[in-house]
Amino acid sequence: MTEQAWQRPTLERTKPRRQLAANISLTGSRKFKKASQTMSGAAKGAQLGYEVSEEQMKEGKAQARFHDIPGAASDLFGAGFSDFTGPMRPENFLALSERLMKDALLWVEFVARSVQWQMPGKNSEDPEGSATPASTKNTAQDSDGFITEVSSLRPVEVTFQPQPGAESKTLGVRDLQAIEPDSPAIAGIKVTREANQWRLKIHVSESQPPGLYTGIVYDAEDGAIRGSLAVAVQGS
Amino acid sequence: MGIKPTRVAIIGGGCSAMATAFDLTRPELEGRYQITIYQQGFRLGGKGASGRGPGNRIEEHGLHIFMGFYENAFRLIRECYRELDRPADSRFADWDDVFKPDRLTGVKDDHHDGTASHWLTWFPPGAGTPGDPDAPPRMFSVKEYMARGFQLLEATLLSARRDEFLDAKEDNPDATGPNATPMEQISRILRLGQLGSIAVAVEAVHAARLIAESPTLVAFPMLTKVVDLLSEFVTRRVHALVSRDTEMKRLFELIDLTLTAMRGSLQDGLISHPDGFDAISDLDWREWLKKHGATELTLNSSFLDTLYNIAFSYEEGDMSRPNAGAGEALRCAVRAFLTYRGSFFYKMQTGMGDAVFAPFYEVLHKRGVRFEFFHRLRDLHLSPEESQRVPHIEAMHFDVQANFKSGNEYQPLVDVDGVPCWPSEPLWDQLVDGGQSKKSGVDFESHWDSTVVTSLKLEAGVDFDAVVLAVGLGEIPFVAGELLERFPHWRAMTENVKTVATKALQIWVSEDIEALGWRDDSVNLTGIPGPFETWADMTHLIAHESFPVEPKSLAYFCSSLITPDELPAQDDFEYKASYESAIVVDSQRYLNENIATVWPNAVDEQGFQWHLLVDPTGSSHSDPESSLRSQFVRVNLNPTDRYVLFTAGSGKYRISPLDYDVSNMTVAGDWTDAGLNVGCVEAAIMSGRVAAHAISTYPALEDIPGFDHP
Amino acid sequence: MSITNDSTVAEVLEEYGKVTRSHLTDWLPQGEPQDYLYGPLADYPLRGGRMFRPSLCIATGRMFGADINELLPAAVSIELLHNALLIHDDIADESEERRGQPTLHKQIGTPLALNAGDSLAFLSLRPLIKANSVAGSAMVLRMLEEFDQMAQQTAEGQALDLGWRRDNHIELREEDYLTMVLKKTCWLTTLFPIRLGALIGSGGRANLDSLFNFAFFLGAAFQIQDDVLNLVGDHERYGKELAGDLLEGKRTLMLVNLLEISSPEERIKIKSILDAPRETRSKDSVRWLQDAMTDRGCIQYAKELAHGLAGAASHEFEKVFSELPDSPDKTFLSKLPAWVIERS
Repeated sequence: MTEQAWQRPTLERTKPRRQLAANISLTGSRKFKKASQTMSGAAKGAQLGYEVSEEQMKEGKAQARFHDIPGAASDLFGAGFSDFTGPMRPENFLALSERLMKDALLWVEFVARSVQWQMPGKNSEDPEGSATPASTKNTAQDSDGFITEVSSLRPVEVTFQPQPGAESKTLGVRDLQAIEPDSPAIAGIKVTREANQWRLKIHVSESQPPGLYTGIVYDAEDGAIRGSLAVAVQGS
Repeated sequence: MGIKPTRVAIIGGGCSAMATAFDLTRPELEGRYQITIYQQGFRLGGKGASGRGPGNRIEEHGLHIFMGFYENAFRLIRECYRELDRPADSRFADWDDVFKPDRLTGVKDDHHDGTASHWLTWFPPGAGTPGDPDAPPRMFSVKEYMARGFQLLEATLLSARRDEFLDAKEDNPDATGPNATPMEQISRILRLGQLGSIAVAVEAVHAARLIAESPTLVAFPMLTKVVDLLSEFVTRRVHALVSRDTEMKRLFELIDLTLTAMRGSLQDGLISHPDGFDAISDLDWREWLKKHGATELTLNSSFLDTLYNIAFSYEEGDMSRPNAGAGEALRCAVRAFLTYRGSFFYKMQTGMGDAVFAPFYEVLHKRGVRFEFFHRLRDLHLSPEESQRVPHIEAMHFDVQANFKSGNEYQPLVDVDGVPCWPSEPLWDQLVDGGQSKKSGVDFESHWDSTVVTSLKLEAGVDFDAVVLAVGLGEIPFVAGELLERFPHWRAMTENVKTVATKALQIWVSEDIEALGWRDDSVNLTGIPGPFETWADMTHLIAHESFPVEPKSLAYFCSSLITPDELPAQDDFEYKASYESAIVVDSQRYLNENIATVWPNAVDEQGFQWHLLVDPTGSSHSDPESSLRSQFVRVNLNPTDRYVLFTAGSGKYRISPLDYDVSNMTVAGDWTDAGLNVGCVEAAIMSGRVAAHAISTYPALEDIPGFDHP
Repeated sequence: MSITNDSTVAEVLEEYGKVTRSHLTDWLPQGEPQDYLYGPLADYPLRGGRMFRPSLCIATGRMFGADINELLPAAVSIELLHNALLIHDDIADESEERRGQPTLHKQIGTPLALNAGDSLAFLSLRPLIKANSVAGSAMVLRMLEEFDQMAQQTAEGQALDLGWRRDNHIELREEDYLTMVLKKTCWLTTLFPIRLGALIGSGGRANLDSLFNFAFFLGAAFQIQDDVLNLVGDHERYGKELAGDLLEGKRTLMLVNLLEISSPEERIKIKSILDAPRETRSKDSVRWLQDAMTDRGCIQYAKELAHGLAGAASHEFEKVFSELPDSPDKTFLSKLPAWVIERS
């Protein structure tokens, strides 16, 4: 009797998440509450609202001082009661608008990344069902069939997560962006498929600041999202 | 149900094995996993095993102290005690009867003039208690650690307001108004070029904290400048004071250390680096600090020495070769100092075996886990090599060291005053030919003992489905030869992740420590020169032992041990004995020559007053050697008992339980890559939980505190 | 304008919506590239919607004494940004339909839709910047600061929501959910419009933080009701896919509540349903979730909670605005708490 031997399950991930983004989440308590509420839903609603409001106000006070840019318009209005006068400060205005642009970009980046994250790609072409998403350093060839040709003076680590079915598509890569607003994008990345393996060509310039750069891999024909790519450029 | 349970063979009985078994047999998993634990010899515990000797004295493997940041360890232990449900009037009814807060710890300073002093520090309680199953801890990012670091600095600076620090112009004309934003404050301070007084320094630190807490990273470049200013301020002050005030000197060593760590974190981009602290694991910690500008004073401080001592971070036990990976050290330091809940340290009120492994044994046994004692793994047999296929373990070979009378299951525990405990020797009465084995001095736990009654072969699919290899790192080359041959990275792991042997001495003394000359409260102290640099006062354990004449104090000493590179052959029975004798000689010398620094009254012109040592059988001794031999000396030479180091550059060679090298096997232990990567109970338990995840996807990795962590 | 104290909420929204829309078209660029950018960019804004957000801004501003022309740039800005985020939301949620028509990315493909969304988002700043000639640079700066804060909070809320879904996070409390809603929805939907309205209407004199609770509670009740309607509402009038939230694995209050009151085994089951990639999530499992929420009283609970929040919003309204003179706009705002939870 040849039974299929037991195998370890496929894992969603095999590495700790050490990045900042992973630590935004709030930890919840694991109280397994019973369905009966001691308070009516309405009273609970009001109470919750005030609790969260207070919490936010506390945080907001700590951050409000940060939000104030020296010489910003709120100075002109003081605590909100003075008159509407005061000189315009063009350099602050520019800095402010720049920041706004970057916040918008940050938000856009999250959206772009989230599209891939909602569909964790499992490498169905691997017969063993090995779990790990293809991940490699520099020019190593991964046993999951993923070759990167990186030209870079510094160590980089590449994480490529193609979706199932991406192998048969012609792919393009959007410029990879970092969370840090000042870092330039990493552009000109190529993803191709040769002899049943992914081939990524990535050039990282000398002056590329260290950080994590991420972006979307899309179908060049119909524009659909086919995966994501992250390149971590390490500090010198 | 109708689904056959998966049979999991766990090899080893230490902390990680317990954690894996505990997680896989949780009620929520509905019996999906049928566990068998294979343990050599007669007791569980691995490096944490302990026994009871004459006078029911507790005989430990070494010194085990739990820290308040051990979230996983405490969580499992607390759940275990809850499930154990001992009667409320039992001696150790619940976890907090066994684990007591221990807030005082010390560092010993040797001065150039030959005097010594002790630096004692009292850690304030942290909110909550560790491992609280109803209130999971909050973990931080590097950014938040920095904010907390600034917070601590602020408190430290404020407490350092001494007259000699206050500048003449304390009402600082450069102080910013109450409504200034943090960036405005820092801009003004930076414009000054230097910090003029502690008041300004405090202001700078406060503003820096607000920036570190703010949600975006826009202002972070400013922080490096602030940190530089603060360092410069601190150095100026320290040079003015060094000879005068040692307490101030230590305070500033601590501040300098913190600032250097911050500067290093900023400069090395750890805030956003995807590897977190692992990014700096290739450097030794002192090297890294030096690279980022730590003063000579700090680099040579006893404070840093202590941190190395606690983890035996010396290559091959050689105190002249300190080596600790900077990433792991920094991670441990921030966890230890900034995330402890309850107390900084916890001390067990009984041996670790009784405190931890007996409860685990009882609970797991009740849950249906099977225990095969006296089973020593000999090798793991892999399926033949095939391209593109992940191999699996086809078979395992065990030496069965003993058989039991009337074919019963071995009952490993003994009762000591109502407490289930592990004995220091096997329960010979339960073994076939037990009396004879006892007479011939069989040591089932020794690497050099080859007692075998039969060989056992287990086959995949027939006797087991999954394997968890939870033996000590030192044992791996002896049992996983095929794995080392098949996988270069396994070989690299055994070559680069190092272990060190350790030694321990326990002495029972007829005077209390005050009479012996130690003037402060009960303490853990490290930095004592000589063969045992760490001393822990364990007097509280005496109440749980049964000496005919009760001693007044009990001291544990431990240290690393230098052993030759090449292990002697397996039939070299003299090896262990010769080491033991050497340690006895060492201990003698230690008590004669070094102990006076902490116990001045225990020593007179002839040396140590040997009559102070209390024999557990009540006999008295006339000569130093026999007096000492009545105490407990332990040499941990067995490969599986060796302590795991985290030397610079070794972290990247560790293997994770989540790695998929073998399709039906995973690994567990404090030597694996499982989040903490330092030799300690918490790392071992985390690893066991990660191994459980590898087998079952439960618990979720997000539910293992500290795994997703910089 | 022709609203009165007797105008219904719907009538006021209609009125202010019309005005906003007619001004909005002035801000949509013409010219090339038309097919690739400016055509698609105008799609959502021109489709018509409730215009809740711009109406809030206009009504608040007028209540404080501003003229409608001072408020229109802000109203337009809000509506443009809202639509930009909708374009991206639809991509992230893989929605097929919006307001009865195909979503933008379904029509032109995701890359172009993403770009159109980006562009529309940045475009939403233009009315505020150009308001310089009317409002003066200090006021413009102040409005931009409000925009900045709102944008950051929205990104954070979005990050929490998406992050929880990505990681299949189920250890959520109601407080966590509410905090996420505050950031992701309330800032854009109620806080920003109300604050801007008050800012402009009072010439910068009003203490905007005192409006926080009213705006927050109103927005939260609004969102919870939205989530309830997604499960049980009338498809045609609701305008989005029914039970689409369950398909997306969105963390709603009902889901959080269900998880809280479920047994450990049920939690494992729920978690595995949410774990599965969207396209493999079976209709049966979605139906099971929906039934569980109904049977265990989660939907009822959410309705009650929204009720409580709406009540608190009314209370706050009384506290903060009682000293302002009565006006049709003030009446409109006072009716909103009831309206957000009674609408279908």
